[in-house]
Amino acid sequence: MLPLFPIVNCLHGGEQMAAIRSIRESKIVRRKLMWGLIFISPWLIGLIGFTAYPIGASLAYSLTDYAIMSPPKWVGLENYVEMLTDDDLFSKSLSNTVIFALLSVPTSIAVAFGLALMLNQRVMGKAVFRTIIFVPTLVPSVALAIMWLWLFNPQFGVVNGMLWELFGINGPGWLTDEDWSKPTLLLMSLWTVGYGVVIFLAGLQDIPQSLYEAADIDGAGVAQKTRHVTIPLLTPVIFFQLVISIIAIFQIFTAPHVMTGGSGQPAKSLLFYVMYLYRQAFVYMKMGHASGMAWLLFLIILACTLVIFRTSGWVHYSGGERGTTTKT
Amino acid sequence: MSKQLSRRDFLRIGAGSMGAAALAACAMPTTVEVPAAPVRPEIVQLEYAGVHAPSGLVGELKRELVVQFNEANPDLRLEYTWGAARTAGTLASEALMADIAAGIPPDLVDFEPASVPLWAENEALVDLSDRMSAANLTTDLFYKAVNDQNLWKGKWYAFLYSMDGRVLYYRKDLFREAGLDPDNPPTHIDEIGAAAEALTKKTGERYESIGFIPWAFQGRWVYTWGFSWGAEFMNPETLELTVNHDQVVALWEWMRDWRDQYGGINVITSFTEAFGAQAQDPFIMGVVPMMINGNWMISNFRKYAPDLDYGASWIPYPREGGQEATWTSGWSWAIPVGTDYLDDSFRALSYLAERGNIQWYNLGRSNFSPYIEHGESPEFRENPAMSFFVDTLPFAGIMPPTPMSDMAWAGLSDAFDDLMHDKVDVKEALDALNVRLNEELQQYL
Repeated sequence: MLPLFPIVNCLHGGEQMAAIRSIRESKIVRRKLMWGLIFISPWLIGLIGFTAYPIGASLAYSLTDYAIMSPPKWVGLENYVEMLTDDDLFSKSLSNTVIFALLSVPTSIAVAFGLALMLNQRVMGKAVFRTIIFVPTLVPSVALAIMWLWLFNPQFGVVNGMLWELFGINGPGWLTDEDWSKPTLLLMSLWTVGYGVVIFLAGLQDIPQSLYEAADIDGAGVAQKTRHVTIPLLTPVIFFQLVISIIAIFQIFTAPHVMTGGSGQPAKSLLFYVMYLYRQAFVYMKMGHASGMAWLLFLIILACTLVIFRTSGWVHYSGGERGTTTKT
Repeated sequence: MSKQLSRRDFLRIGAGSMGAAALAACAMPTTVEVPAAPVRPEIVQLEYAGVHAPSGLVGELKRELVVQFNEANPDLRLEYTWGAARTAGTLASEALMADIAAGIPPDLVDFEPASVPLWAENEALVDLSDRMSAANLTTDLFYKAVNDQNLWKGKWYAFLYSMDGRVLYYRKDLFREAGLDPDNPPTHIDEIGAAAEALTKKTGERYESIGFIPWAFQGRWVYTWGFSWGAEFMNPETLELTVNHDQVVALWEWMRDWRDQYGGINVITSFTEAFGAQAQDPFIMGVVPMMINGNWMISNFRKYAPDLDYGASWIPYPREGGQEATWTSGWSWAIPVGTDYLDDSFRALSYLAERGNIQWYNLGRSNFSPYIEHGESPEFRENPAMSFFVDTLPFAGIMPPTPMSDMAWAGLSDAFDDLMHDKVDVKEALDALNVRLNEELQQYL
């Protein structure tokens, strides 16, 4: 064995043994690494082939004029310049998306939190209620969109029918009315708030009971316990939900696309960023332009996420150190 | 043994990976390689990607044609598949695009005629010119509106197999009830205004029926009205688009005034949202006694209201500058680039395009044959409304056949919706759209 390691051979005694042990250990580490890589290779290949490469490719294509079926032509930054300086629909779709995000993110977090609080109570049939809240998230998005399209039909939809029967109110035009279209979409999206509820529930169950008992001894009521115990200890969950919701809302597509047939009407009020991106790519065959839009969207989401992270002083980590959400 | 990855290492690895991916992605193809045709098997499998659901009336007709083709051609096996995204013109052609790019397209595909130039410019469709000549399918056999949509820059890229058209339908029985002459439907816009008022019924603030809604059904598209109003959408010499034609502006201003007369867009939209289909069609139900719609409605009436007392007439036009006209479109067949057996694909196309097959198919779905000779065929003349439709074909305009058709369609649809919601000035919106379209068009001329 020694002749294989001439440098080691020059050493003496304990030094030699330590060196041999170190080489053996590094061989073991390398072998473990090799087997580890082999075992995760399906995932690695998928990541490189189906995620990293398309991401890189879309960046490259964003600098070209490309229609998929014919070779791309290099145009430099022209696509970016065009969308930022000479495309009214780009700004309209972006502003629609930002407005909807501002409406939707806080509302969906508040509703999910409220529902989680209710479902965390000790009531009979708790599991059934939890299932009912979660089930809508399992419905395919397209089916959901079509169902709500019927429910919100201004003439024979169930929603306006109930408004008239129960309250004598002539309901609005919902999705056909420019002023109501975004709130209608928001109402619809709240139906699938189940994922958020489940995450909030998990957070609620992580809060130590001892803190509520201590609050009880101090004479705190329900509101005080919620304000001073529940909400502070749930801020990491709220923070997580905030980031995830913003990322998701900026990519809203399926429901408004199905509901408006891709037009974003009435008055472009439902033309969201990714819908316009899709139109550029698959109607106008401007893949380069669409790729550029995708990268701008990535930068916008990245900027939003960084701002949220930078201003996350309000998040309470009970382990004491930011970034380590240790259990207490 | 475990070692936490430092932020620097993480960034280094991340940047390295992204850089590698970007470099790999930069190795973009400079040419699209068309693989060599495979060895022809004894029975060649061909795929026809159609736009109509196989279970519907039109889909059943197509499947029947396919069965006949397979019986007549034992060495070929054509299969009808359905998926909107695998055809072009439904504003959702991503699957077809991807198939062509991957070199595995369907062998025959339904194509919206107006989309042909854009796809042809992107080298996605086979130039059929020589094969069409060899099969004796020449332009003199077809209506001008058909040839103008089949050819782009003088080459055949598609075969328009089924034509449609749009007219004014009116209910004769409701005309009589309202004291109107059922044998003299409104021809000019002032006449249709008066007739619509007479046919409108209101209880309190609620409409029971609205005599006519110009932009409902096929009236929604500017091309439907445009040719009747004397609008020109393209200069045929220079190929410059003119979607901002004065008559388009006048047409949309007239529609805006109509909207105001009937209580605004939300009131009218609320009314139209209640429209049903088939047996509950608002025209059959009598809640819209006049409508602009297509010839395909004839088979609907035949099926769901065989005794319906209705007539068909020209789309109303202004006394000055207007004319008797309509807009025709339809569906084409095209062969995507990359099909394995091009000769066999064309054999399928030319079989389906035979006069008898085309006549049988179009009669079955109340559409028109592209062959001029079928215009005089008694089968197309049996139904008075259908006969009237055939008479409109020589006066039919088409959507400007340029690579900008889809963009123009979306842009005009947006502009009209904005107009109806008072978001834009008609003239300014159309001028801006026209400039944009022509700028984009330059790259193809």
